[in-house]
Amino acid sequence: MTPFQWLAITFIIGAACYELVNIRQQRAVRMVGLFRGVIWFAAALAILFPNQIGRLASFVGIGRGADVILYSFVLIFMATTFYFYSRYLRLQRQITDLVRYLAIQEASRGAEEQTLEEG
Amino acid sequence: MPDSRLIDDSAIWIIVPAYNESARIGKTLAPLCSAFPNVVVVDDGSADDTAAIAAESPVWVLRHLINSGQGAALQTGIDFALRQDAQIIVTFDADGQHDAGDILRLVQPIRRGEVDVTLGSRFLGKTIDMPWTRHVMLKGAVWFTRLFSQIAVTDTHNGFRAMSRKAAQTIRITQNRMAHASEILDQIREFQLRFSEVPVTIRYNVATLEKGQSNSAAVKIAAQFLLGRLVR
Repeated sequence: MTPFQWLAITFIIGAACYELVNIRQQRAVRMVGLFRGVIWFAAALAILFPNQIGRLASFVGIGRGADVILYSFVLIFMATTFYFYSRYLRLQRQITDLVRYLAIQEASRGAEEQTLEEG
Repeated sequence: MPDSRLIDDSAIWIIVPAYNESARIGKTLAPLCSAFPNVVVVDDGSADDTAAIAAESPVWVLRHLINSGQGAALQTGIDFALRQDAQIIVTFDADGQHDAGDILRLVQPIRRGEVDVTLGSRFLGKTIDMPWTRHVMLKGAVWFTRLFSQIAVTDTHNGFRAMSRKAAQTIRITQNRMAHASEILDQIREFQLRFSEVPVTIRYNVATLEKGQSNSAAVKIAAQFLLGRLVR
């Protein structure tokens, strides 16, 4: 193995162990944790067996192994962006519910009521 | 449920979402307050004196602590009005574009029990000083709505509309910003609410055009609407 492979595999094993601990302690959502585990596993395979990525590229009709990884990253990036956007929207809706609750609780009547009180 | 034909003006609640409208809100509220006892101004986190000026009129004033968008402000006003036993809810812009004289015509089909929702249409009614670029943009929005919401209307982003209590309880606005107008149409179709369009007058001037949505915002609103549909 090359020095890069040693470094990368060490990092990936560390990350995978962290995911495993999170899943066992249920700190992460199980499906999300599993998804990240699959990503780490695929990355480890790609680093350990670069020639196999080339064969996979030929099989799916892309050509170069590096392009397979690039296209995969683009797809993952888009999916991740949508995931975080949906999280943001849900959070925004929760904040709006809170703002709405306070607004209704503190509703006040304008000039008419003041006039009545003064009278 | 009361007979809708017996609904009197006191059961009609006018919701006015307002954001930084201190220069116009007083003038907008005057004709509303003289005709209807129940007007609700939802100040959407304005940085100016919108709420204070609105409070000089005999209206209910609700304040959003932070700016949340016109859709959010409308839903706040609708929730409040429903709690006060409103039978018909009218949404009315704060910038003076709408004509309070159109309200009784707008609510008439709901009063008669013919429909659940009435939508104001400037293209069936009248526009005053509308720039041609706005005309083109709004016509594009109509086609967008026909394509994505599958509902045939002549005007889509008109904030002047009325709904029965039942419709107001059914429709839930989750699009906080301007895409709420398309979302309401979506829900009218989804929940099979009966609707009709009513001719109304929309008056444009320099101030309302500066304050209102720019033509370039149309793409952003369309994107917000489509993405928002995907997130439940």
